[in-house]
Amino acid sequence: MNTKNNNEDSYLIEKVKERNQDAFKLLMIKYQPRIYSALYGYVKSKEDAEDLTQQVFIRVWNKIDSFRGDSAFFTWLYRVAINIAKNHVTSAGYKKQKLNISDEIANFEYPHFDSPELSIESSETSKIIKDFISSLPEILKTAFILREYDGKSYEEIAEIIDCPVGTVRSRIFRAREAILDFIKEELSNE
Amino acid sequence: MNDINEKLSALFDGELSPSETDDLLTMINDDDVQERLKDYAQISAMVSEKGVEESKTNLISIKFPDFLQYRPWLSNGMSAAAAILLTVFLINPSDSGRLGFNSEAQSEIQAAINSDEAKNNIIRIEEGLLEHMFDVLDQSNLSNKNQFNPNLTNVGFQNRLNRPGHYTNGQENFYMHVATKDLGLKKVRYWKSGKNMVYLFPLPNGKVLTLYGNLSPEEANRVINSINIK
Repeated sequence: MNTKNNNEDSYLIEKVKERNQDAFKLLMIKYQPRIYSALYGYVKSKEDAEDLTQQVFIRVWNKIDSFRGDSAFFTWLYRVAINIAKNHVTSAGYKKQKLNISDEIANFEYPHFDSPELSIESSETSKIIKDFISSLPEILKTAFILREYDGKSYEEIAEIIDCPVGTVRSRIFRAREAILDFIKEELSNE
Repeated sequence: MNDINEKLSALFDGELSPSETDDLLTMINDDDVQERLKDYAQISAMVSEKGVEESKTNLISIKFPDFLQYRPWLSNGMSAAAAILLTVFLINPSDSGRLGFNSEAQSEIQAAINSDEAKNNIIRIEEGLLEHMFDVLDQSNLSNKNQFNPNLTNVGFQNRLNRPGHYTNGQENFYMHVATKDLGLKKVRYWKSGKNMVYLFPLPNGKVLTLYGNLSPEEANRVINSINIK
């Protein structure tokens, strides 16, 4: 069961509620790939998935006060995305609508994920990366998997593998760096 | 730089103190910082999503994952929930009598299935219940205090070790949950999706008992009849 702390984003969310755009940008960067991937699954169109992803975050910005923290932020975000996707796929003769976007949000620079070697549409790339993760040193792999697959907090991981929280933080970081190095060095040569 | 990147990694995980978070937020518009965070986000998406194959698959044909196999990460449950929105089908009307199925709602929804706006109608009619099913599928949202874990050995099911609410008889597995909010459910409702079934049973005070798994309607009926629900 996913035991990720529902409050891991709570500080950022509170900042967003105070209309802090930097905090919002961080949340967008963090969740955009997963939201895009989910929406792409609905609409089968990169362009539409990008449009809808943007709509999701516009709605989040406008409706963030309605997030009460009863569930994980990603759960709520995902529901927003699903609702938007539902409206999209079920609207007969769907046409792009002009969005009602405030100046504040219109001036936002939306993060783009255009790194070809990290394309989330490449299942082959995903498999290669997962294979690489399996080959990581045990101490890095364990911490990374507990975090990314099981959603454990650093404190929970520290208890599980019986080491200080700082060590967990370091190991997860080193695992991520190793994965990035692998991607940049190996996959970019293909 | 490594120190900053390690902090960015922790920031990405929501594991920094408020003061450290504030410090790094001031750097969020730095290109290098953004690129690093994007890289972490992409890695996270790639490894935590069941996703890549799923995102390339037509939603209608997505297999409903058996969450009873215990997939620990959130995205699976939520992906399943997303999938069920468009993969839910009512089972054959001839089966409905056994569980007191609401035939009026069934006819309404079946009519919707045949219309141009089928999916939309299904979603609208079922929205409240589907919302509940989101929570059932996304078990991380379920509160342990709502866990309903009766002894079902009299109907041949054993509680799975360390997994309250999960039962098996070796061949059939299911998950049981009681929702405390009033969903307005008056009749037993059930859906088929892939190899699994979702059964919703109305309880007193508006509560809903949910069974999810590869249970036949007969087995679901036996299970529900064996439970002493007050």
